Amino acid sequence: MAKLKQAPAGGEIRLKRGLQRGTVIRIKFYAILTIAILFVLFAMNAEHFAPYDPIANDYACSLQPPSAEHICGTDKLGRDVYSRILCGAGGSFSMAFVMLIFVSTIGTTIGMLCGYFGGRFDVIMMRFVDVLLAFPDTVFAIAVAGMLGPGVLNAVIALGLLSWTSFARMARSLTASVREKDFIAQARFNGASTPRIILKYIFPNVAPQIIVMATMRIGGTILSLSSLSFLGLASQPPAPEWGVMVSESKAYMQTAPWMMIYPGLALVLTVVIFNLLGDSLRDVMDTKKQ
Amino acid sequence: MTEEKRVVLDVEDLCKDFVLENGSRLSAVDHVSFQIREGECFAVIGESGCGKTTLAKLITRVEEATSGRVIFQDRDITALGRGKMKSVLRDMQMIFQNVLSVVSPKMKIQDFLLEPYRNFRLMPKREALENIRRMLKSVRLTEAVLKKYPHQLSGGELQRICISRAFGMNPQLLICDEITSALDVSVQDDVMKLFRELQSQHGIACLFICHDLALVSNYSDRIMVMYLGQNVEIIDSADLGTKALHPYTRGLLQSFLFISSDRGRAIRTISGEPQSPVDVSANCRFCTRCPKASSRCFEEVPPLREVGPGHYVACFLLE
Ligand SMILES: Nc1ncnc2c1ncn2[C@@H]1O[C@H](COP(=O)(O)OP(=O)(O)OP(=O)(O)O)[C@@H](O)[C@H]1O
Ligand SMILES: [Mg+2]
Repeated sequence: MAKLKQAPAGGEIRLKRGLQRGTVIRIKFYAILTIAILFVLFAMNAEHFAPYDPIANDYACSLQPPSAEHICGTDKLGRDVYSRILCGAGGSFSMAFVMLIFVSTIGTTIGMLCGYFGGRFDVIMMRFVDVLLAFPDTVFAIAVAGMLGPGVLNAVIALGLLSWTSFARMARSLTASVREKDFIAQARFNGASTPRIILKYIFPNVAPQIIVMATMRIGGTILSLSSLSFLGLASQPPAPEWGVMVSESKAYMQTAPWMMIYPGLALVLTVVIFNLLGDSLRDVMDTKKQ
Repeated sequence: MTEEKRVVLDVEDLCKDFVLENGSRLSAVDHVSFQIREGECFAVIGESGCGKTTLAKLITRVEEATSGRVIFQDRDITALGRGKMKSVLRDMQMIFQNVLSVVSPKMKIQDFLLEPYRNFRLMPKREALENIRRMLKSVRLTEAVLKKYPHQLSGGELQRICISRAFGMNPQLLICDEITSALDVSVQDDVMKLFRELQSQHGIACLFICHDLALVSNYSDRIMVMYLGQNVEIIDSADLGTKALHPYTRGLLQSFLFISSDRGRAIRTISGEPQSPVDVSANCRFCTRCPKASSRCFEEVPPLREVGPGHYVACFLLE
């Protein structure tokens, strides 16, 4: 009897756990998504929240430590660090976002064409990708940005030149596997033309992974853009950009560490938020598939 | 008699060799010839891996044939270009073996069913939807399935959706690849009844691929037996139990229980190992398992000969 009673109980627990796992993943995803959306909304409207003008100098209060008036202190020119951080968020995010949309579109298009048609175009394209991937990406970006000259647009181009390749590779391998599926043969049977097959049948099956990949890249891209700014290759002073701010703080590391710490923390926080978003998006997709 | 009816599909000496990665050749379909006439249900049976699906794919040009010809409605379609083939495909429908994978997982059933109407520009969307609803009703499904994704449906439901799509196109030839193998026996019978009903209603010629001899002998008009890519016998279904001549067909019949058979009779199975289909030499494929094989069977390919009206056998032992 005892055994008989235990069996369904065990089954129930397992069932519950299975249910919980999916739900937990989903709740986690929505929580992080909410945070990320709030972050973006906040970043885009930062001017309304910033207590001070991020660019106007005020020599009267230069290099002040954090206080009630300036919660993150001020820099050499008396600008409020907190306001500069807030106003810098929007720029970093939108640059990364625009670049990723652009790069993933190009990468996915090329990858899908390679994967679908194969042949010589595919071979040439993929060898080209291999060559590009052989460069260490930061060094490559620095070299290209240096060649094109400093500027945000050039920095974005420099980063974009390499980062489309991983989207292309991913799209290519996904396309090559989807292509062999029966529903493609069936689609051709139903009279679908090749462009239609690529757009209506292959793309929807490739897109989720591409979106996950792009989301996971937001944090890293913000970081890379800031690094280039730090090196003086992207945003230029006096722009309130985090990399620029860290770079400006180098000379005051000991006397005014807040100038470096707070933009650094902002960068870490942003990267963590978007990486978590990417991870949990992937988890949600995985549970959906099962 | 079937003789007066128009030939819809004429397959002549069709061969397909797959070149494997290591360079050897796998002969999946080997000199297969047959004809299907209007309104006829022509069944192809054989064990798994004997090339049934490949045969269907050759006829529909999903795969290109190595040699041989496919003549559909008096037109050689073996070398037709893509555009012309498209107009042929409108009259030729195929229901694939694995229904679970024929609908893109990201596509709603409604979009899936609308595709042919849209792509072949058959009729405006509203009429097409009406047609689709009517066909769904005829396979006893409700409109609710239209809004669903394939993973929300059972195999049987998807199967019936595919059947409704194929019949809705009103094709001249319908190729069904094991449409019942994904279904359990109780549903199988329903689907088959439905299928026959629709087939006789629309008078469509049908190539019916199956590996279930009992099912086939009940629901088809003629049967072609395949063994490792070769066509070994073509016979009227009604004569299958009594007039089958090829040792393989007889072996199949003996290994399979007719409901009417007396219980005392022993079930015999076909003994021996089948040949590998890779790099075969020219012989009767069944020679290694044939109880009566002579030396000639190991050296030559037996030709298909007519031994009675509409009855063809490829075997040296009958000469
Ligand atoms: N694309 C391919 N490349 C190489 N070999 C193939 C290919 N497609 C099929 N084959 C081989 O051809 C033979 C016939 O395969 P086919 O799918 O036609 O069998 P089938 O009769 O439909 O079997 P089943 O009843 O299991 O569906 C098999 O030996 C298979 O391994
Ligand atoms: Mg098959």
